[in-house]
Order: sequence, then C-alpha cells, then structure tokens
Amino acid sequence: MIIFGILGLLLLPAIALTISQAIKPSFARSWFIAIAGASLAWLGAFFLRLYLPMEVELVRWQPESLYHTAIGLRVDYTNWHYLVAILALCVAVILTDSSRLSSNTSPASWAAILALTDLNLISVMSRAPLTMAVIWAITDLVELFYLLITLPSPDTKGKIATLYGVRLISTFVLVAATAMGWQVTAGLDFTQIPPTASLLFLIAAGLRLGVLPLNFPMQQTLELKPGTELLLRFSPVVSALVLIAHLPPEILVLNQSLVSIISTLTVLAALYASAMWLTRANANEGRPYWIVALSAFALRCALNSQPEHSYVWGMALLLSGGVLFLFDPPIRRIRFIPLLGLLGLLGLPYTLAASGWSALLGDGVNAAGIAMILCHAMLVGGYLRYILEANSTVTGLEKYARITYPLGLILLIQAMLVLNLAGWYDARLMETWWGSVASLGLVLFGALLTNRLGIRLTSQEIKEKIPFYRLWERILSVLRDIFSLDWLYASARWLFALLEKASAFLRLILEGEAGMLWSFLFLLIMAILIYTQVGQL
Amino acid sequence: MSTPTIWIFLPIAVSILLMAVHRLHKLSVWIAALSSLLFAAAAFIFPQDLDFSMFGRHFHFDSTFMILNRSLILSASQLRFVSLLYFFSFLWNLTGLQFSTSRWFPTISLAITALWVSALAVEPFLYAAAIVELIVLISTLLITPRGEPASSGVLRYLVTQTIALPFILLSGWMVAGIESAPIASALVLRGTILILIGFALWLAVFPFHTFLPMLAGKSHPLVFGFVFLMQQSSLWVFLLKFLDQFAWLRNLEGIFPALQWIGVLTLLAGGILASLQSKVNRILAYLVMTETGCALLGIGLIAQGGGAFLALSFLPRALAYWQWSYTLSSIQKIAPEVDGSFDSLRGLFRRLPFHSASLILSMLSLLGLPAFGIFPAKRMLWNIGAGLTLPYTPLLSLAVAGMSLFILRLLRALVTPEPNTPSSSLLIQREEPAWQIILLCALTLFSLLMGIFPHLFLNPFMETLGAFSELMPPN
Repeated sequence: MIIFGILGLLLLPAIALTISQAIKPSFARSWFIAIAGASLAWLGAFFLRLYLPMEVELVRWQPESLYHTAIGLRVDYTNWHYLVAILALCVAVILTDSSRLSSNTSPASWAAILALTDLNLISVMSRAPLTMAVIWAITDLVELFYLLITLPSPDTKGKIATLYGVRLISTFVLVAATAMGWQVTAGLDFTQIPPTASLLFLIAAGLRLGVLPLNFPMQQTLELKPGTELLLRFSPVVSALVLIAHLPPEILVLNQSLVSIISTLTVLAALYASAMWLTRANANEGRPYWIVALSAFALRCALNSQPEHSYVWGMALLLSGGVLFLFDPPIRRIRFIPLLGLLGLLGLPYTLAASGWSALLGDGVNAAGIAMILCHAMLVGGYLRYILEANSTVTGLEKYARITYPLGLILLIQAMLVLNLAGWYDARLMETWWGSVASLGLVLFGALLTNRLGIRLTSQEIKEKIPFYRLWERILSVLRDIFSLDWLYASARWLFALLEKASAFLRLILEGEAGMLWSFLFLLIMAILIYTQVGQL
Repeated sequence: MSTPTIWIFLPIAVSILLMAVHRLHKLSVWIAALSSLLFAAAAFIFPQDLDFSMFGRHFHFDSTFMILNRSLILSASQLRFVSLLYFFSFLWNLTGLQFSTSRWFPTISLAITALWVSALAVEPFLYAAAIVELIVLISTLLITPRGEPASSGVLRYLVTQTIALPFILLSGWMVAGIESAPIASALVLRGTILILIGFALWLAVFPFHTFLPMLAGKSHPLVFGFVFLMQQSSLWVFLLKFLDQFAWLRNLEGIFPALQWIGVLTLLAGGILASLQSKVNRILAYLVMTETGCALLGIGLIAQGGGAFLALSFLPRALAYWQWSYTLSSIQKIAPEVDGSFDSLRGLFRRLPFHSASLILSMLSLLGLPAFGIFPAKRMLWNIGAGLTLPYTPLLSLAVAGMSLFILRLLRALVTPEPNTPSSSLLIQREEPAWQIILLCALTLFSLLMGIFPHLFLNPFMETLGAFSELMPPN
C-alpha cells in the first residue's frame, strides 16, 4: 500500500498538473502541486524504511506451469537507498528548476519530471529481471519519443537514435541473461540470480551505464532544461546500478579470461572517464564522464565479488553528482553547499562511501586498485575544481528563489546524511580507510603542484607551464581517439557498406531473370545431397 | 447442419454474393468485414461439444461434411484457429475502405479465408495441397497491383508454390501404407525429404525466399500482409498436422533438429538481409521470413514447449503485421512522394510523428521487445533455446541484432531531416488526422496490454493447437 501511495503521489500530481494547465494555467498552483506530490512521496520513502523488505505482486501470469512469471515490486535493503536518492533528486530538481532564470521552466516539464521519476521508481523496485526488462523497454521508449518531440536539432536526433540503440541492446542482453538464469531457476527473481548468468547481467548493466563497451552516444543536450536533462541522464543509470547491486558475489567463478577482459575494460573506462572529468571546461560538460567513472566503480565492486557494496558509489553518483550538477548557476556566495556534497564521495571513515573502498580495491593492493585510487583522486579533484571555479553573482533573483535554490541543494546533502546515519551499517566501520587517505593525498599533491606551477587546467598558460606539453597533448589525443571508439564505429560502417554492396549483388542475382535457375540449382544440390544420403542407407 | 457448412460454404457463398456487388466498394467491404467478424465470433464462442440450445430448441452440429467422397472435418478443437483466421480477415477488410487496394479484395479475402479453413479440414489431408494451389492462384489477383501486368515476383511466387505441390503429393503417394515399414527405411527418408522441400517452398524458407521481397516491393502493403499472414499461419498448422498424423514422420530421428536448423537459418537469413535493406516496403518480406524461422524453430522444439510459443504468438503477430501494413499504407497515402526508400523517409517524423512511431513500434513488437504483445511467446522460445546444447544462441542473437539494426537505421532516417532543411521547418508539424492518431495509439496500447497481461488476452488461444494430441499430449 505504501509503495502504491508513493507511486500515486508522483503520478496523480503529474496528471493533475497537465489537466490544471490545460484548463486554467497557473504557475504557482502548478509548482505547489508538483512540489507537494514529490515531497510527500519522498517522506513516504522514509516511512517505508520501517517496513522493509516489502513486496507487492502486480500481475501473475497464469497458468504458472506455462509462464512462471509474476510482475512485481520489492523494496529491500539493497534498493531502498536508490528509492530515497531518486525522490530526493526529483524534489531538488523541482526546487532548483523554478529558480533558474535562464531555463524558462514550465509546469509541463515538472509533470514530465514527476512521470519520469515514477517510471524510474518502478524500475528500481523491480522484483525480478523480467519486470526490469519490461520497465526498461517502456522507459526507453518514453524517453526516446519525449526527446524526439522536445528537441528540434537534427544532429541531436541522430544521437538519440544511437542512444536508443545502446539501450535496446542492453534490454535484449538482460532478456538473454534472464533466459540463461531460468535454466537454473524458472521464474527467478533478483535473489536467485545464478553465477552462470551473472556475467550477462553485468554486461547488460555495463552497456546501459556506458562502460562496457565505453560509449558516450549523447554527451549533452543543451536544448533541454538542466533539471529534466539530469533526471533523463540518471534514469537509465539508476536501474542499471540496482541490477549490479543485486548480482551474486560469485562472478569470478566464471570464465576467468572473460572476467579479466571485462575487468580490464572497466579499469580503462574508469581511468579515461575520470581523466576527462578532471579536464573538462565545466561540470555539465563533464557529466557523462562522471556517470561512466562512478558506474565503472560500481562494476568493479561486482567484479571484486562485493556487488552489494556497489550502491555506495551509486549513491555518490546520484547525490554528490546531483548537488554539483544542480548547482547552476554556480553562485560563489553559496559554494560551500555543494562542497558538502563531497561527503558522499570522499569515502573517509564514518562517511557515506567508507564501505565502498574494500569493494572497490578488492583483496590487497594491485595495479587495478592503484588505478582506482587514482581515478577517485581525479574525480574528487574535478569536483573541487568545478566548485572552486564557481564565480557567478546572480542579481534579480525572485524572493522565493533565494530560498528554493539552496534548499534544493541542501535537501540532497540532507539525504546523504540521513542515509549515512540510517542507511547502512557499513558506513560506520573503519574499513580500508587508507584508500580514501591515499586518494586525498593525491588530490592534495595535485593541488599543491598545480598551485606551485600556477596552472589552471583550462587556462591557455598551461601549454607553457607543463614540460613536454605537446607530447602529453598528443598522447591524450590518441587516447581520446581510442576510447571514443569512433574508429570502431567507422570500421563497422565500412564493413556494413561492404556488406550492403555484396547484398545488392546477391539480390541482383537472386531476383534477376536467372533467379529461378539459382533456386533450381539449390534444389539440385539438395537433391544430390539427399541421393547421397539415401544411397548410404 | 455441420461446422464445415458454417465456416467454409457459407463464407464462400458470401464471397460469391460479394462478386455481384464488388463495384459498390463500401458495401462489399462492410459485408466482408462484418461477416468475417461474425464467423470469427461464432467460432470463438462455439461450444466444445458442438451442441447448444437456443430459444428452447436444441441444436446439434456435425463436424463432418462429405463431398466427392472426401470429408471436410472441422472439429471443435480446430474452431479457435478458424476464429483467428476470420478475425484476421475482419481486421484487413476493415482497413480496406481507406486505401485503394483491389476492388476485389473483400471478395477474394473472404474466399481465401474459407479456402484456408477447408485446407485444414479436408481428409485425406494431402488433398489440401491442391486447395493451397487454388489459394495461390486466387491470391495472384490481389498481389498484382491494379492496372499493372504480373511482375516477375508474382510469376516466381506462382512457380515456387506450384513446384511445392508435386513434392507434397508425391510424398503422400510414396509413403502410402508405410506405417508398417521399419522406421529407418529409405522410403521414409525420401518421403520426409519431399515433405520438407515442399514445405520449404510453400513457406518461402531460405533459400526459396526470393519472391517474398520482390512481391513486397511491388504489392500494396496491406494485401501483402494479409496474403502471407494467412498463408504462413495456416501452413504452420498444416505442418503440425503432418507431424501429428504421420507417426513415421514424427518418430524419424533427426526430424525435429532438422526443423530447428531450418528455422534458425531462415531466421538468421531474414535478420541479416533485413539489416541490409534500405526500402521499407520490402521489409515486411523479411519480417515474414523471420517469423517463419521462429515458427519452424518452435515446431522443432515442440517437445520442449515450442507449441505454446506458436499458439500464443498468432494474435500479436497478426496485429503487428496489421499495424505495420496499415501505417505504411497510410504514410504512402498522406505523403505520396514516399516511395519506401530511406531517402524519401528522411525527416518524416517531423511531419507524421505518430505514423513514424507506429512503424518503429510495430517492428519492435515483432522483434519481441519486452512489454509488447509477442514478448511472452518469444520469451518462451528464447528460454527453450538457451537450454539447448546446440549452438543456436549466437545465431539467434545475430538474427535479433540484424533486425534491431534495421529498426535503428529506419529510426535514424525518420528523425534526421535532409542536411539543408531550414530550421523553421524542423519543428513538429502534424499532418495526421486525430482519429488516426487515436487508432495508432490504441493499437500500441493494445499490444502493450497483451504483453503485460498475456494470461488475459492470449491464453484463450492456447487451445488453438489442441487438435494435435499426438504432438502435444494434453496434460
């Protein structure tokens, strides 16, 4: 009942908003409906914590012997954090969106935000992989057509098609993984994923997250309102992270070479994405890299046989990232608020991400572990940089905006603190504390070095101050070309064009005047084969 | 009164009546549509014991009708499938009003439906081959575009289907009285091969598929969709009948793996060839091919539960074909400059967003995307396939990938306008009537409902294959 209540609190205001805007438009009333619905749903999520785990069966396909399928929702200690995080993001987006002068916000976009969050919640609460596949398919289509209708730019539309392609593949990989899983347990839910299928589940999640293989089909859609875009970008990520968190720990028992390849790709994706994050011009430009880097962290946790701890990095991605990306305009006077967002990322003992280190680094110190510490340092460095570079001074803000804008950011930080205290026990343990210390050390060293050299990563002087800059630039450029996978797509296009030509030639033969003769030839060949077979009997 | 009289002779009589009024297009379309609906509804609700009482009177229907010393037997277990065939006829006739298909479409579509029912009812069932040939001959009237000479595709269709006839008939003659022969005799093998080749030609299995894209490129999408939906659905059931009635055939070692391989190869060929297509009109041919591949795979896996896939997929597949054919026909009516090539479709999403979306969604539905109507059925096939030791999975994945690639290329073409399009005309400019938008949305919604609640919408069709008690023993 509580689950339906939460879903209803988002869906009904979305419908009410649409109707009220159609009948008698009122900005204030619409805003109130949106914020009331989202806030109540968010509070409902905390109330739900008292009743975990909670399960609701929506539909059972009968007869059981034929389908073995029940579409249902479940909230447990694994996905509840994501539930809270998404709802917090929804409230924060509505609060901050209305405060932006530049974004020309509208009640229609709030209705979209509420509806999108609702779909997201259903996806996060999926009880079984099949339910998740169904919701993925629906959410992707909703997003596809929403973007196609909202965005006029032809270039963006082409990218949307590519983005949808990646999602489609990930949905089918999830279906294939489910089919594999069913060989062990018919009608399996997330608690019954067998190790034999877990790698496919991991690949499905990795594809959706843009990590396996590394893909950034849609860097940024400037035509969208910042809040809506943030939710759209986070929406596929959240459910994929939940999927990772549900995986069994025994992935490593599978084909070792395949696991090694995936592990290497994940580390490379994390390194590349965090380096790109550190060096972007602003946080919005770096957002896809932020998502990929922290998603790679979550994947690493699963590969290190601790998928249940992947949510630590998932929370950092959503909440710390949410604070930073919603800090737009970056007003200098209140930059201490997003700085607090670092609490969710640093992983210092007794903070939210503390328990993520042991899962991220695995057993002992190895090359992958060191690479991960380096990635973390770059992420923290980039985060700090984008906040410290904030220098806007906004005048003429509406009175209400002076409250709602910081309130939206504080709400996310508050969510972090609450999750820290009540979310999970591991956050209060002193585990692998040296990971965060090493990372912070690297950040400090980097900061001192850049300060000493007087370097700003975006400044023009950098070329003169860094030794062998042109060599480094060349290396980075080559790496960027490799990791962008453009070469792979270009090769695929070339191969496809070749196949198209071959197919056209074949068609010419088969559908031409002599086509029937070819069919007869096939018949003849088959007859000879048959004759040989019969003769042998 | 007998069931063949109701579902074979009565529709043929209506069809003959329609010949007289074929010039009154609207009237003939309405008569054909409503009578099809009536036959479909009657077959769907007809009692299993063929007995019922009405207005205090008791009616009993015979399942057998004797004609020329041959029997037409339409048992209660076959009526579910008969209702499906008439429902398909209803759907296609309903849209006939809107498009300039052949004026003979209502007449011929009803006759074709009745003939397919008779092909499934005739005993000895080998005579069905002659009825199939008759259907093919009649169908050529429909698939030849109005006012144009028969294309090479039509001729090839005729030739291919005609070649299949002697294969099927010869097999029956060759293996007459074979029941007592040893199972591995050369005769059995020869008979089996003849049957397989006959069905391969009928079903346009790879590599005998070449007439399909040729026909799809020239014929009206609605007509092509109807003719081949009826043909493939009925022939699958007919193949099941062969397997059910010939014990020597179904007991032959290797027959089911052979069917699986033929299915997988056809599915693969359909998927790969579709991915290389750049004409949407021709794509329905490859959809027909991939669905035939899936069905043959399902029949090959009948012992593992492939029959359920077949039974559950009839209705959603037909609706997806209908949606695709209807949308494409409607696009070509609203925008006559669209010749089906990707270039002509460029940026169409801006003008016809709901039609463009409908094209994509109908294909995604056929692909088996979760939440859509055919997904519960296809999922069964994939689940069974995943459990096999045979290396099907990569080939199946490749087929799905090929079809997905085509969908994505189509999506890209639909949403990406020509490079020099002025920015003012990049905004959505709807040219679609409201009722069409509602219809397309309703179709998609219905497909989603079928996919999410298959037990409500699809379970009634589980009885479709109930007649094949040897192949699928009742639980």
